[in-house]
This record gives sequence, structure tokens and C-alpha cells, in this order.
Amino acid sequence: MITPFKLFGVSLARRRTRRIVVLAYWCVPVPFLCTAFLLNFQRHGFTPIDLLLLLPLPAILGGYSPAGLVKPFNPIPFPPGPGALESRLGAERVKAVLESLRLDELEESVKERAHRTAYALLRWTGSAAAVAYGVESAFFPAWSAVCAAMGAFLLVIALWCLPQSVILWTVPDLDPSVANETLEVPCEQN
Amino acid sequence: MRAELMLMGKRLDMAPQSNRRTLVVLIYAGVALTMTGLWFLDRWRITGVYMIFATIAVNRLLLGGYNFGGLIKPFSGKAPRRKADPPPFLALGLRLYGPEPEENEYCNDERETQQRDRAHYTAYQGLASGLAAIWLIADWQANAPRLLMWLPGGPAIYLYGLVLGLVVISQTLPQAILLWTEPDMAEPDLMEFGAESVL
Repeated sequence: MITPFKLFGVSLARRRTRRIVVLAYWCVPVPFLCTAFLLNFQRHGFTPIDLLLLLPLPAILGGYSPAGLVKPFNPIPFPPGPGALESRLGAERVKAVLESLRLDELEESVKERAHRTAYALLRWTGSAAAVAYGVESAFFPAWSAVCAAMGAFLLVIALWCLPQSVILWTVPDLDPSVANETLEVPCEQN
Repeated sequence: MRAELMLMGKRLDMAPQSNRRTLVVLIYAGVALTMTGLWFLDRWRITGVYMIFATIAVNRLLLGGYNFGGLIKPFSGKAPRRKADPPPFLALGLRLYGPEPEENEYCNDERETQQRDRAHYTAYQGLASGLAAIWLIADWQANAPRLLMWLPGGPAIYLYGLVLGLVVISQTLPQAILLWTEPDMAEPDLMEFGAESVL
């Protein structure tokens, strides 16, 4: 479930390391992006820049993006035609890398269980946020727009990143043979 | 998943997939009608919260999953809380007291656990898309589009309605997916139970 990629040269085979990464992720980039969104929203309202703020988040953790610490949840399709990547690395090499990122049966069940955990966490959080939004818009209508946008932004971030965080948090230490595995595949014979 | 549903004292056969799909459609149509009615009542100012209570009732009586009762076994796999005291006389007189459920009524086996997790994964994708859409239109409160200015009450109240709808869906979607996708339940093979000798 965890890719053999290293984060700044640090292996993520150990669960303790992964938990530190998850905590750092939720304590540094997420509050930074929330502050950036809030400042931008108060000055200019909703702008396309806000969409750009969201893009780097799943790219770190993976899952919903092709690269990252967690393998992609949906299989990356093999490119149909000879592209730039294929011509540089060779078709067999690209195919081997994509195959190594596919989830097996056990990983599929881990992925689905992580989504269930994330769903359970967000189900009540989201409902409580909706009730709070209703009460707040009735008593403090001046703050209603900012609160709605900020709450939705936080929930979107949580929805995009929580399953990967759950996976990184819960998957036990990897077997050393798997942890040392790299994406080395034989080069295509010309 | 249960094969029958007790509703108003009648047993409804829920083994065929078509019956379950009809139930899902009726539930969501009912929710949509209730929300429309409440909008006319007070534009969800006070009654909006009642939708959450209505969803709990739907789960308890029809869908199950997050509450004990209904067609789907509890997702938690835990038995419902019961008091150790005997039921009050009034409850017995009104036949409101349910017997202690058997273990197979709330424990999920391996296949059911897998189905539950997959349904949550599918529901998660839908919920994420819905919430992203709501986030994109959250700006309506401050900068409402001119096209929507003619709507009575202003666009903000419709944003609140969308949020309420998403909350209702988030409480019911995994159960609805399970009911919708599970194929027709096989009838027990009578020959296996020695029906030949009875006949």
C-alpha cells in the first residue's frame, strides 16, 4: 500500500516515521493553505487561485494522485501511444512501474477499510458543521459567507487527504525485503 | 442483509433486487418531498435540523447500517444497547418491546464486512464530489450570480439546502448502495433440508 519512494531521503517503511509525516502534514501545509485561502477569500472572494491551492495536497500523500506516499487508489492506465516518457524509458519499463503501483487484493481491502474509517470520522464532523453553519447564519449573518467557504474548504481537504492519512497511520511496519524494494526494472533491450 | 422488512405490521419481501431499488427510490423521493415541504413552511430556518432527525428515523426503520433496525446489519457489528431491567408493563402491553437480537442479526461476516467497506469507498467518492461542488458555490453568499437573483429568499438559502441534502445523503448513501447493488437473494434450497421427504 505504501510506495517504495522516499521522502527527502527518508524511508517510510516504519510506522513511527509515517505517523510523524502525517502529523507534520496536518500541522504545517494544511493550516498554511487554510490561512492563504481565508486571506484571499476575504479580499477577492472565490478565485481560480483557490483551486490551485488544493492541487499540491494529494500530490504529497498520493492515493488520489498518481504520485505520492500511498499507491494510487485507481489504476493508472497504460499510455495508449508512444509518448515522451515511453520513448525515454522504454515501454517495458513504464509498464513494469505502472504494474508495481497496482493494488493487490489485500491492498484493495486496506484502501476500502481506510475509506470507511474516514467516512465515519467525517460523517458526524460534517453533520455537526452543517448544524453549526445553520445556527451561525441565523445569528451572525455577516460572518456566514466566510464561515461557509472556510468550512467547505476544510472539509474538502479532509475528504481528499484523510483516507491516505489513515493508511499511513495504521499500516504496520513494512517487511524489510519490501521496504528495500525499489522500482528497478531491467531496461528494454534495443 | 435482511430479506424482509416489517412495515405497518406487514411483511415486505425484500429478497428481489427490484423491490430494494424501489425502496431506495421511494426513500429519496420522500426526503426530497419533505425538504420541499419544509422549505415552504419556514425556508429551513428551524425545520432544517429536523431533516437530520428524519434521517435517523429512516435509518432506524428502513435502511439500518448506522442504527440497529432496517434491512442492513449494523456497520459497527455491535449489538444494540439493552437495559438489564425487564421492560416496563406499558411497553409490553403495547408490544413495543423487541426480543434480544440473535448474534447473526448484528454480526457481519467476512463477505458482509468487505461489501460494507466497498460501499463506503463508493459513497466516499460521491460525497467528495458533492462537497467540492458546494465549496465552489460557497461564494454565493457574498457574490450571488445575477442569474439567480430572481429566486425568492436569495441564493444563500439554497446553498443551505444543498448542505442539508448532502448531510442526509452522507447518512444514507452506503446503505442505499448496498441495497441497490446486492443481487436477488437466493431462496433456500428446500431439497437440502429434506423437503423431499416432507412432500
